[in-house]
Amino acid sequence: MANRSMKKEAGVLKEMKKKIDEIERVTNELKALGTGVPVVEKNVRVIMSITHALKFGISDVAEVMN
Amino acid sequence: MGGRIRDYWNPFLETLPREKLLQIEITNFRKYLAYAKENSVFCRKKFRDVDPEEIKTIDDLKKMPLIDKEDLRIAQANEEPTIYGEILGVRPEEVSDYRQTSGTTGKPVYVPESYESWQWRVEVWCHILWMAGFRETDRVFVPFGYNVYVAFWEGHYAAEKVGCEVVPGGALDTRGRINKMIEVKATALMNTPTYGLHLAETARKMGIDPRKIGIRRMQCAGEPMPQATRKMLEEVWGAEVYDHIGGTEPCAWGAMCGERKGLHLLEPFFVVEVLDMETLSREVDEGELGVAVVTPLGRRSFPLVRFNTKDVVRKGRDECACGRTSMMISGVEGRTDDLRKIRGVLFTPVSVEEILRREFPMVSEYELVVQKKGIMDEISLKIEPEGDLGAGTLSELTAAIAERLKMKTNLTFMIEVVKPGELPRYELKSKRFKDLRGE
Repeated sequence: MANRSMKKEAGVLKEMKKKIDEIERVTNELKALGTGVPVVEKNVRVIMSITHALKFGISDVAEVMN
Repeated sequence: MGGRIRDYWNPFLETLPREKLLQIEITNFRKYLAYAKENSVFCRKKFRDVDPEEIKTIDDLKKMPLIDKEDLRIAQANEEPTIYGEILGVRPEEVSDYRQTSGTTGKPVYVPESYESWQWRVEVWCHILWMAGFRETDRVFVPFGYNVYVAFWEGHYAAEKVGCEVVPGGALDTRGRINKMIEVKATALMNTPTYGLHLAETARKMGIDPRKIGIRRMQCAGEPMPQATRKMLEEVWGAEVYDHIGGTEPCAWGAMCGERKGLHLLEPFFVVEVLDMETLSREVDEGELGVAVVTPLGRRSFPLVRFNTKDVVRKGRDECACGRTSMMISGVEGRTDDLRKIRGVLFTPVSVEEILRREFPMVSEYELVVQKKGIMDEISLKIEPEGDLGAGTLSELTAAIAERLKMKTNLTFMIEVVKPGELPRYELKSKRFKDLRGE
């Protein structure tokens, strides 16, 4: 039972990690498209800072669970 | 996963088996050290002989040097290219916030935050507030002007992120703050323990029972809080009172859960070592006192690797009824800075506060002074009673305090009773202990 729950959790974490990686990738693409445009550059910085926190909380856990 | 999902800010992380937590910590420590060496001149020099790839276990850390506050002051003595000196770990134009230490033990240390590092700190504080039960339904009153000091800024932004409604109460006097708390129907407070007591005392002087204001929980910050003081605050406010431990340089690295029996280390955001006080080279065992050495693994603007906090803590267990798997510390005993030798006896002022708050609640404020009388050290304690107790009661009170302090500390205290309201009240760090022997 506990094992099945751990497996399910690991699966969810893996999916979330993928989404976080995707956010990072897409945000970097947005940054490249908006180079020199303050509204893009500054808001990209905000998104990347939050992604940094999510990587600590979710992606790192996903890595050790898989 | 133990408990219910919404009991935790991050249920995956907070209930992770310990071996997995340690695996994350060691992996992130290696990455953090590599980053620090690459981006901070100070860290590059300090850890020139350490190869991050050779760090395989937490025990390997013990071979590395420690950073202490004096190192930071020296590294900032040359204010080039910025006031942050050689420590800065990001480009100067990435710094978004200036903070500084209080300067209690010397020149303040300037602490730069990039937006990313700041968000990381806020995230850590979200864990602290969630553990303390702060939720979307709370209206949090913060009775301070935050100034350049970090704690209430972190608390403010984290409360906002958690979903609380935050009411800053800076530009008001204490009476104005009490009126504001009542006016906005605040349900939670963030303050120093000293100011929490002062607020309650002032409310009573205004004819208001603090227990009826509606505060359900209080997160304390800014100064050490003995258990007896925490319990006293719970009693006077009729609220749950939570402690945490941390500092401006590394961020907050330990916090209290709903069980309120010790502090959880905020793993794996931090690697926290509790080292023996004499050699600072051996991890102490459960129940033993040690000095906390902290590495905040997400702070790139101000890289700190193995920072000696000088906080003296008692190492606890890695089990808690709340279901979290992080290591705990069962108590914060003070700071190595505060340890003094008086007449050959090691003394920490926290021990006096513990006794006064637990056993003598009629003492509302106190001040300790150590000075030389001839060649002898003399320690005096001024106490301020709550209200008019009468000469006979005061005489019994001073005799009882002197006896208890003698038993606890093995020192003889000269006790003086002063009038109510005579001793200073503090909003931020209190300065109730003065060692004048060097003057």
